[in-house]
Amino acid sequence: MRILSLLKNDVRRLFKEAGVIVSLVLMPLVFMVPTILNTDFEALDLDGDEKSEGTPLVIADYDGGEVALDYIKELDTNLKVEQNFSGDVLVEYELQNDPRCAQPSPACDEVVGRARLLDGSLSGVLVIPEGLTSAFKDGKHTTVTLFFDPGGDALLATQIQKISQGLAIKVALTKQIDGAKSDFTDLSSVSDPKVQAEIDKIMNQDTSIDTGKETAIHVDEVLPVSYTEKKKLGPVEQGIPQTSVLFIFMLPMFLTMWVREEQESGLYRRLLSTPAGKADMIIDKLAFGVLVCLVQMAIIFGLGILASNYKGHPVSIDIAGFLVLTLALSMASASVGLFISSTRLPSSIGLVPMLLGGLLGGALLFLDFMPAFMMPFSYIVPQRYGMVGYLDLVARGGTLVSILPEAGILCLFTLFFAGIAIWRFDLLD
Amino acid sequence: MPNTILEANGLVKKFGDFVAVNDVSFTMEEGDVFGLLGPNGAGKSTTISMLTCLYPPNEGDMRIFGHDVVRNAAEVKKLIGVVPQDIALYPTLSARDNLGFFGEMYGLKGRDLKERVGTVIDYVAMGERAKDAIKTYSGGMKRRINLAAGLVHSPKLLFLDEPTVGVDPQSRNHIFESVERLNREQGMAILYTTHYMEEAERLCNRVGIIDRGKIIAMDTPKNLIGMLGGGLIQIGLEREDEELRKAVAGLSEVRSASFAPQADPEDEMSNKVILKVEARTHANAALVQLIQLFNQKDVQMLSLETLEPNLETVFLHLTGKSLRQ
Repeated sequence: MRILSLLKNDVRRLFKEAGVIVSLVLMPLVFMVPTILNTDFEALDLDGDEKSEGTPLVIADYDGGEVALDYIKELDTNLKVEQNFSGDVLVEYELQNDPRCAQPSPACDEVVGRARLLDGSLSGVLVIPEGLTSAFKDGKHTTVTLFFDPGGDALLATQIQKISQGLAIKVALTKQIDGAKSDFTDLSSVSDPKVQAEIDKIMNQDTSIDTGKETAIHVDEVLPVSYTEKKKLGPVEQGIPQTSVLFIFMLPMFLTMWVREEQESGLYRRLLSTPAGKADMIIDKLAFGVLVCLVQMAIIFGLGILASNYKGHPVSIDIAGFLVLTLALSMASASVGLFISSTRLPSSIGLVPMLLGGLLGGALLFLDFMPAFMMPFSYIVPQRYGMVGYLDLVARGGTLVSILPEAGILCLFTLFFAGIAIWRFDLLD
Repeated sequence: MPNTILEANGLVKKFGDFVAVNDVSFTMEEGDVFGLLGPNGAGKSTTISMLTCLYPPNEGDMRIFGHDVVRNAAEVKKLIGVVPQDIALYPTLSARDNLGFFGEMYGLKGRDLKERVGTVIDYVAMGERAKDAIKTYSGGMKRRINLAAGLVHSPKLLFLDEPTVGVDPQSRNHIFESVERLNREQGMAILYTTHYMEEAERLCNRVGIIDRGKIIAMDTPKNLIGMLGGGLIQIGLEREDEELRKAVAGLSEVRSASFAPQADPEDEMSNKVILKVEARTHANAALVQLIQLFNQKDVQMLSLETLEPNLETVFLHLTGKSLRQ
């Protein structure tokens, strides 16, 4: 009950502090306005009809047979397959006079693919050798070759590698099953007529494998988790998590300011002479910080998503995942505030976690654009896990399960900072 | 037979090497207004902090209404009210919100809470401004709400730690009247710390004089002042003269005479010594005899100061320095 009274009193105080409310809620919203207003989503064509999304893969198909075509078809549903180059691309790579490119051909595809691989505009070239289909039918092992730049984007290279391998297995298994079914039909002819009738009955059922639907044999596990990213991040999808994670760590400064005020004015001295104890006051401040952060995040995300939807670019989010991640992030922020409050440092120091953590954790400078030397430092700030978790939820269709690792790490941050704060907190000035 | 409601025995509190409170012992009876009188840094607030469960003593023990203050703090806290030296109120909240909050901290709720808040607001005569934010009040008004916050849960023993610091005369008088009424009408026991001797003289039925963490005298104000007889006379001399001191002590209107250390080393006459003379019945009568004696012996007085008998003079007599030093 006393903690509730303390919490109620803190909320009442907050409502009297217009400056704090403006800083915590309105300022982040103002930050998001340019992002929202300056974004023409249609012009960006983030997920338009053209298959501009997806990781490009150039295929040089020297086989041209049934199995090769099935393989390419499967690859095309997952990656942006590019073949049969002509015109401007050849001019761009000065291949217009190359005899291999006199007309569209696998040899031309390969040479263009290799050139693009060298200039870094491509992550992979897959070469399907001649005789793949016949070799498969003869039951012989065949190797396709994937070229990629090991110094390039390792994530994309891995993605292409895994998808290529996975789909090769899928196509191979599908074909083998079809073949095995025929063998089974042949063998059935020598069986008892009664058994034969039963087999015929089964065989007459539609057991064809429709590769356009869910296949009987999946090789989903070979796809990287991040592969669900079908489009580049839009400014709002990037802006909402960045603004949220940046400003949620503004709380430590205000929490420190409030605690200092209570220490210096003798309020804690007075409160500690009431039946309330030190634990009540620390729990109250932690709970109050979490409450403020939750409301702050609900407003920022709510309005951000509304604005995004209004601009015709709907953003959906897994509510359970959002709540758990936000709760974990709020606890981390409040515990950092409590930690600073427990020191003798001035309340303005509370800005350091916001700015430094924001910089290292990807809330100021997006993680993908962060210089390599800074990347290791990002792991030591809670902002990183907030950013990764929110981006997963907002941009990659992540769920509660997928953000649990980030939420767990944020809880560890909370335990660390709150633990030190409780240990060394001296409420008396 | 009044009951003992507070017992402090041999309290010692150290902060590192600094001894803030050194072997302090005293008791309070039901209905007492006990004053702790001493200069800033004497150990008054530290003593109150220990008695109000803020921190335990390094040595000694304390009991309030029979409860051990350290071991049974929860029970003690329900019975005591504390008015700290600082304005310990939320400046952006109204008086009513502040008092309501502190009432809730003591477990009051609903109608009881509302009634008690209304009662204490009336008690400190702040009804008209009760809905205004504390930050809009004058210093005296804040002090009155500060007092009210210590009364909202009807404590049996009230600790007032220098409640009149920085207060205008009108509000100061109001606080005095409130303390007197609380004691007279409700029989509330009050422990009052101050460095203003007039407050201690007016409000307290017993006073403990505290200096450098030690209680150096404790009695009723009347008895403490009586220690000085008819008053105190301080005479500045060029040098210590034992023969002269004996002659002074032998005068019929003089109770005692002694040399005291120079109170203010920065004084321009810093090399003079002070002969401290206690008058027997009245300072003026003693002064006539002293002047006659000094004329007879042809001894020059470098300075002469007559001090009326009051608690300030008692403190000076006991410590050689004033309460405001």
